[in-house]
Amino acid sequence: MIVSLNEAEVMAMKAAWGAGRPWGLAQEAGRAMSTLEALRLPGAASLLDLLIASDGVPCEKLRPQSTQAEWWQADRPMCPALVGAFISDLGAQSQAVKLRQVQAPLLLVPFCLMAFDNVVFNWSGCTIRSCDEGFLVDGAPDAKVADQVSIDSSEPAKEATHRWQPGAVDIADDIWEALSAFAHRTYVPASEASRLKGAGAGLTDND
Amino acid sequence: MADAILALPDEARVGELMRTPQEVMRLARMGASHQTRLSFMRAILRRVKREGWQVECTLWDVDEKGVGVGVYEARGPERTYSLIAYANDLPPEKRSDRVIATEWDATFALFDGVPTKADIDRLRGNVPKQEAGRCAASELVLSRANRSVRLFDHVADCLSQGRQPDVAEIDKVGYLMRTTAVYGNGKFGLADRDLYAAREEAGGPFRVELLAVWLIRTFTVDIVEHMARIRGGADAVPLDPEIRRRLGVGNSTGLGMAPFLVTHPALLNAWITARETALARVRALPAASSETINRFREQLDRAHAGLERWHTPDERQSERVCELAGDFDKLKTHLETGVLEGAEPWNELYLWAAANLTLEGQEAVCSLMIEPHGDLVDDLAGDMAADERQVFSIDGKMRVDVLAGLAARHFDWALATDFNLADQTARFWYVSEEKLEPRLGERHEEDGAELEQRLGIGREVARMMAVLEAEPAGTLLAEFLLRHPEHRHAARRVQLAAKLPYAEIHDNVLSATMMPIDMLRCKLAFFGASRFDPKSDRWVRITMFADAPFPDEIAEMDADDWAWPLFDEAQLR
Repeated sequence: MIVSLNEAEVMAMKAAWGAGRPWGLAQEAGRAMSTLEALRLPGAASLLDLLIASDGVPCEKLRPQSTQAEWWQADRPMCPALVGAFISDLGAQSQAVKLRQVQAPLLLVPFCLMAFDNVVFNWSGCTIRSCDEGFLVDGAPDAKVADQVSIDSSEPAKEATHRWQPGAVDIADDIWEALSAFAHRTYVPASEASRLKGAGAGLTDND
Repeated sequence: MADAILALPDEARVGELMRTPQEVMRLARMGASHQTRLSFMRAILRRVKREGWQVECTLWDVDEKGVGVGVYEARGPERTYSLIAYANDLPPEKRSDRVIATEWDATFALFDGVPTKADIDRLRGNVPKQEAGRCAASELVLSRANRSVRLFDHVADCLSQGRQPDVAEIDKVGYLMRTTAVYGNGKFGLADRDLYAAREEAGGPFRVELLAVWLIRTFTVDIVEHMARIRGGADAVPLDPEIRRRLGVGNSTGLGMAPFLVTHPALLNAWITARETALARVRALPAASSETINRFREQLDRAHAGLERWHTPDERQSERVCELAGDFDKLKTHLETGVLEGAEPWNELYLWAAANLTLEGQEAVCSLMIEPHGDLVDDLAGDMAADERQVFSIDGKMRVDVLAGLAARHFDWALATDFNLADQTARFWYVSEEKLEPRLGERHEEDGAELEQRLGIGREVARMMAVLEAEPAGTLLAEFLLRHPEHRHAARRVQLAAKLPYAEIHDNVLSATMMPIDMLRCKLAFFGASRFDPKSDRWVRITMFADAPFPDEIAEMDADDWAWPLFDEAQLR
């Protein structure tokens, strides 16, 4: 399915909300997904992995219980949107962040752009380093779960393998449909009364 | 007086005279908004004129039933934008303005550049289906329109018989066709705004959407003249340009547009800031030149006379139009006191209006005061775009007690509302499964409130404040939000309101007394719409580009003298 980045963002937001993320965080997840897709990184696939793995799980089970030397959560892998939003909220960061057990770690990437001038991410088999033009990605970025993730400031990458490209993106049909199914949970079924009243019309338009 | 013409307003004084958000961002006042010279339609036509854009119909392949395609190329200095219009022969039973319609009298795409035959054929399979079709990044706008059957047939009949239509009939309706949606910014596969936001001619808000509407206006005349030729053959005549100019493009706008103002706080702030700055600059002028006074009086006369053409069967709005006529009478009497000859004359006039006129009258006076001061304010039309992403991040290093202080200052209206009262939460906004469009439900009567869109920012902030009370004052906001991510939305909006004063509506949009058309009117006035004709509390018909020059006459005409048109000296009251 070829979609605009705006459509991608709206879909991602609704899907995250449909999977139980609160409104404000779902908005951020939407932005993160479309940012990754604008870099031609698999944001939609990562978001879908995350939502399937954490569908309906309350946020308290998905956030770090400790943010000391290493951030971790005892029950299950952490949500990259929750962790990423926390990193983004804290703003300019000088120290490395070490995380244990993160679901779909690729989604951390957009959140960290506010916190570091240039940033390097490391998890099993993947290194992602930023520069002005985009990111240098070495290895497969689409791990479903990363046991260890480190995020640190870095020198800018010398070249980018993934550059910012506004415009339409191609998202695999099965991924788009699965996200649509999550989004669908946020729609209210129509009744005859709501059809007329909810939109406020019902008159003839042959005038 | 001669010195006064050159005097520019003092910047500090302009700052002092800015109306406060508490005053401006109330729904009742927003719902009395009028177009101004900063409105987007006017800014577009000023540019088209200044840059000498050329518009040409390069394809007209329409049959005797009125079915086919037309292409209009609008050529600017840098680029060409093309309206592709697909004309349809629609059975009356299918004519609906509601978003649930599946066929229309005409459908349109604004193409980025000049379309090839392959583009036109590809879009023929998609544009007539509207939401059910797909566009591509080469298309900027998707739209559709239905005929005003009554006026369309009247005009086609008259022209086919070699005579001009009745002006009174034209003024009663004001348009041959009304659009029922004008989509842009990536909807249904269209180009994302990011792809063209850096272009000078397309970067302002809704520039491409309203350029499309201006071109659609030409199509509506071409198609009625085409039908007249089919019916009348050699007897048919084209529309007289003076009569033609009275026609705008109608628009039927429903609830779908209302949430936009809530979901685009930075943009709303940019629009209101521009208009309020324009007003404050005028109010801060130390004196008025005789030229601007004359211009003001002339526009007032025209606005007054123009009320004759503001028809609405809606009781509330009809009453307000009557009151506005009364306000104009009062204003004319007041002008005789010489108010505009003293110091800070426009400020004096504004203060008088605020104390003596209805909201409808006050906002009309604001628009009229801004009107003769193009040199002073037109630069502001270039400052009305905003990127929500630039203000999206939360400053989590802020302490929660500081955030609570900001909330108390900027959401005092919300914190004074008792959201436990049924009336204060009577409504809920949701997205319907059927059309994926925003709807409004009655919380205490209908199902679905658990899926409500979080548009009631006031209640969101009040809920956050209730939880914040238990937090130690020194807690970092980031830590609080990690534990309470359900309040990220409210925290973001509080920080935003502290930075962008006009970002929030200062009213409860969940209340039983809330009128969605107030939000629609505010947005549509910024577009430049006129003759608001509410059809209920939640949808409204308007006219766009009425009395504006057509593409084939804009080079010879004033491009910006149509907001209050003058047709007949005798009309002046």
